[in-house]
Order: sequence, then structure tokens, then C-alpha cells
Amino acid sequence: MGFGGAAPGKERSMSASGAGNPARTGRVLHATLDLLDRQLRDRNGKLCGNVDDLEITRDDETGQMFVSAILCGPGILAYRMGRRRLGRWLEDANRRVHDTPRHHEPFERTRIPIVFAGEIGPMIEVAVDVDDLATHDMERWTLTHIIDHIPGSGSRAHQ
Amino acid sequence: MRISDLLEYTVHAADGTRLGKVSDARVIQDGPVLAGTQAAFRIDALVVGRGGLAERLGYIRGRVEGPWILCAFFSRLERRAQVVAVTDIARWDDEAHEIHLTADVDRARRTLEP
Repeated sequence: MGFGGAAPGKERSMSASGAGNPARTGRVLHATLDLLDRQLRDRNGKLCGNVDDLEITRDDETGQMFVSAILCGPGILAYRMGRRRLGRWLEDANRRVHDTPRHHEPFERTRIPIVFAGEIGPMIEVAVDVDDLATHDMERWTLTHIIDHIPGSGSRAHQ
Repeated sequence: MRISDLLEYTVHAADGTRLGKVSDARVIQDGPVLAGTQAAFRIDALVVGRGGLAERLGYIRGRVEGPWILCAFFSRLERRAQVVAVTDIARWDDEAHEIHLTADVDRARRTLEP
């Protein structure tokens, strides 16, 4: 089985919200009830998509399984809804068109490591910027390649 | 692997009895502490079997207290669901999308209480 992602504990370090506070622990959740489809909010309070799927990592030695990342963005929901091929195609196409991460280190733009998750309730707070995620890539592409080229759009090209 | 892949698996007891499809996963945040901020989310158990409609309507895991008639109905429906501890998994058959349990899993242990 292709278990993706790094095992917990091997995640890259980050300055997550809550740094300096005692480690969060002890929550009991049901994945499909409490995590899937929840609204995501970035570190600036902006809405940045929904939890479309969750990445699971299995430790082959111990047999333990961990939720390692929140997945959101183009194609992820299609994959979850059973449209596996379409989902993969959309993910791949989006990656090719929008492969311009602002991060210096590799960062899958449809994958938010679970360590970035803060409060989990009706809304899940994540310690990332909405611009670093693939959620609004289509809108961004349309803005850059179509809207900005329309006279009167207010873009610098027409000023 | 994604949770959507996990929900495709069917669970079989050691004697080959089909218990049902995975419908949810119980997650407990008690794994190793990540980046000094929070413990990892460990999948402790899989919820297996019927209860789909009750789940969709939110009448599940004893969370909704009323109206009592709906609670009673959906609680009864959800009683068919079972919980299988991840430690009781003996083998994964990824080709057939099947999970096989160890021989000593007692059916009475599979309750929805954590």
C-alpha cells in the first residue's frame, strides 16, 4: 500500500500557532464526522478551503496509523467522491500550471501537515497563508491571465 | 494513503466473516509530540458496518439528545456498527481492499465507547 507523507515526528519544524504553549493532546475525534468537510481558516483569519481528504501514514514496524496531513484543493474532493482518475488528473494539472510555491522548502500546496492545525471545531485553524495553498489557484489564474487583460480592470498593464 | 482509500476497505474476522465496510476512524491525539506544539493524531480504531444514514444526519456516537424518538431509532440502527481496534488488525490485503483481523478479537469488545 502506498502510504504517503512523512511519519509523525519526522515532519519538518515550523512556527505553528500555539508555539510556546503546552503541547495539545488528548482530543478524541471521529475522522469523517469531526474533520472531513470542515472549513479551514488560515493564520490571518481568511477562509482557505475545506478539508477534502486526510492523509494517513502507517508505521510498518508498529502497525500504528496516524493522520499526517489535511488535503484540500483542486481534484482532492473528486478523488474522495470516487472519481479517482479525474481527481488525480486535476491535481496533476493544477500542480503543473501553478507550481510556484512561495516557500523556500518543498511544500505540497494541496497538503497541510497536521502539525499546522490548531483549533478544531466547526472551523479548523491552520498555521499557513491562504496564498500558499492551492485552494484558490483557479481564481488566481483567471485573475492573472484573463481579468487583468481586460481594459478597465485596473491592472498595471492598462494604466 | 488517504482516508477515502481507507473507507473502501471491508473488514473480515479471522474466520472469514465479513463484518462490513469501514465507515469512520476514531482518532486520538496521543501520539508523539510534533514540533513541540501538539501530539500526533493516532488512529485508534475503525468504525465498521452500518449506521450510514444515522451518521449523515449526525445522530451518532450519542451526540444528539433529542428528539428522543429519532435518537432511539438511530441509536438502534447504529448498534449494528462495530469498532475494531487498529491493534487487532492482522493483515491488509491492498489488492482486494480487505482488512483481516487477528483470531482472538472478541465481538463483545467492539463497542462504540472509547
